[in-house]
Amino acid sequence: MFGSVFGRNNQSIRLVVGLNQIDKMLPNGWDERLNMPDERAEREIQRRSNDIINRLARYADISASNIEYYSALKRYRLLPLLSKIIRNAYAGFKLDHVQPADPFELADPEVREFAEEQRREREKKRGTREPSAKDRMFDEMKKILSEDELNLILDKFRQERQLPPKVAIFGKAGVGKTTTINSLFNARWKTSHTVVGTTQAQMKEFELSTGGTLNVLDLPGYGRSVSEDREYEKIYQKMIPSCDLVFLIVQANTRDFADDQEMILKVSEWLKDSPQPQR
Amino acid sequence: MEDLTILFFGKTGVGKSSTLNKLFGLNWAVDDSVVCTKEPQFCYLDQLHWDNLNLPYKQVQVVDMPGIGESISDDENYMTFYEEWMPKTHSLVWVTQADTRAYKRDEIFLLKLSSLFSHSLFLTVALNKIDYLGVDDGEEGFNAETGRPSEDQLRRVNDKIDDIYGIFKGAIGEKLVFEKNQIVPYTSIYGWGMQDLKEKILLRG
Repeated sequence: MFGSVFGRNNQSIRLVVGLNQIDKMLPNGWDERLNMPDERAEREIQRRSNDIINRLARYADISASNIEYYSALKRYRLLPLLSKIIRNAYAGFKLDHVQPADPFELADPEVREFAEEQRREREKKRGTREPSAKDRMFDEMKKILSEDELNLILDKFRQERQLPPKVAIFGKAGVGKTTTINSLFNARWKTSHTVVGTTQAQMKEFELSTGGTLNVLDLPGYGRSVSEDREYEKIYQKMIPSCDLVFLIVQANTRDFADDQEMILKVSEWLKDSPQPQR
Repeated sequence: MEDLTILFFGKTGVGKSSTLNKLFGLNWAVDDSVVCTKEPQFCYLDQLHWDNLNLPYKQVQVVDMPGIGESISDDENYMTFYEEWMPKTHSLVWVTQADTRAYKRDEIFLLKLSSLFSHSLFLTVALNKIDYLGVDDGEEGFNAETGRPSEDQLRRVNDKIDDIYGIFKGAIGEKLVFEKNQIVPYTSIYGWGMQDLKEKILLRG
C-alpha cells in the first residue's frame, strides 16, 4: 500500500532516459542571444528527438513518459526533464522543490533582464497560492480514512522524508553526466566522494540550493570496451535496485544507440525485479 | 600490383562519406540524420588524386561500406558485403571518431571481421573529428581560423591514440600488423591531418 502511495502505480518503472546534447543536433540552429533554438531548429529537434524516443521505447518496453530530451550545457528543457524524474521516482515528492539552473543566465543580458521582469510580474499576479496537489490529496484522504490510519500514513511520509532521495546517474562514457548533475540539480558539493567498495561507483552527496540533500550514485560509463562493460555490469546490477530513480543519459546527436538500447533493456529488467528500492 | 582497392568502413555517423568526399574529391551524398549508404558504393579515382605519390598502380578503386551499428539485423546482412569485398581489398580503412570515449561497438565489429583479415591487408584507423576533441574548462579548443587543433588538444591526441590502440589491438588480433602509427588523427571539416591520412592509405604505410 505504501509502495503505491510513494511510487504511484505498480506498472511504473523507476527509470528516466534523458536525450542530452540536443543543442548539437543541428549546425547553426542555436540562437545564442536567447539561449534557445530558433523556431525551425526547435521543430527539427523535436522531430528527431521523437524519432529516437520511439525507437528506444519500442525496443525496451518503456514509454515516452520515461524519456525526455534536453541540453545540460544550454540548460534547455530541464523542467520537463525534472518533472518526468519526479513522476517516475519512488517517493518523487522529495524532489519536487529542486530548481534547475536558469537558462536565461546564459542568454544576452538584455534578454535575461526581460525574463526576470516577466517572472516577477507572474509572481505578483499569482498572489494567494493555490493549494498544491499534495494538500488536495490529503484533504481527500481525510474524508475517507480514520485518524489512526491517517497518522500512520503521515508517519510513513515523515520517515520517508528522513531519507535523502537517491538517484543513480549513468550513460555511455562521455555523455555529459557531470554537466547534467550540475545544471539539473543546481547543486554544489557537500562532501568529497566516497568510493563504494573497490569499484568505481561513487556515492556523491549534494546540498541542494533549495535545501535538503540529494544522494547521487555516480556509475562508471558503459560502451568503452567489451572487458570494461563486463566488469561494470556487475556494479550496475548490484547498485541499481537500491535507487529511488535511475537516470540514464543518452547522447542525442548520434545514430548509434545499440549500447544504450541494450542497457535500457537490462536496467528495466533489474528494476522490474525490485519494484521498490532495496534499502 | 595492377590495381589498388581501398575499403572504407566504420560505425554509422562517424563521417565516413564526408571523409571520402574530402580526401578524393568525390560527390557522395552526406546527411547527418539519415543513413545514406545501405549498400557498398564504389568508384575508380581520378588519377590526379594520386599522381604525385608515384604509385605503381594502374587504377585505384574506393569502396564505401554501409555504416554499422544502426540496427543489429542490418549489421548481420552487411556481413555478406564484407565477405564479398574483403578478399579483393588491399588497404582497409576503419573510420572512427575522437569525440567519444565509447569504442565498444568498434571493438565488437572489428572482432567480428577479424576472421576475414589476411596478412597482406594494410589497416589504417582514421580518427575523425579531432576538432571536437574535448578539453577541460579554461583550456583552448580547436582554432577554427587557422583550422588547427589547439596545443591542449594536440597534447590529448596521443592519450587518445593510446586508448584506442589498447582497445582495438585485442580485437584485431595477430593476423594484421597494427601499430600506433596506423592511427591517423584528422578532421574532415577543416582538413587538418587529411594529407597524412591520404598518404598512409595510398602508400600502405
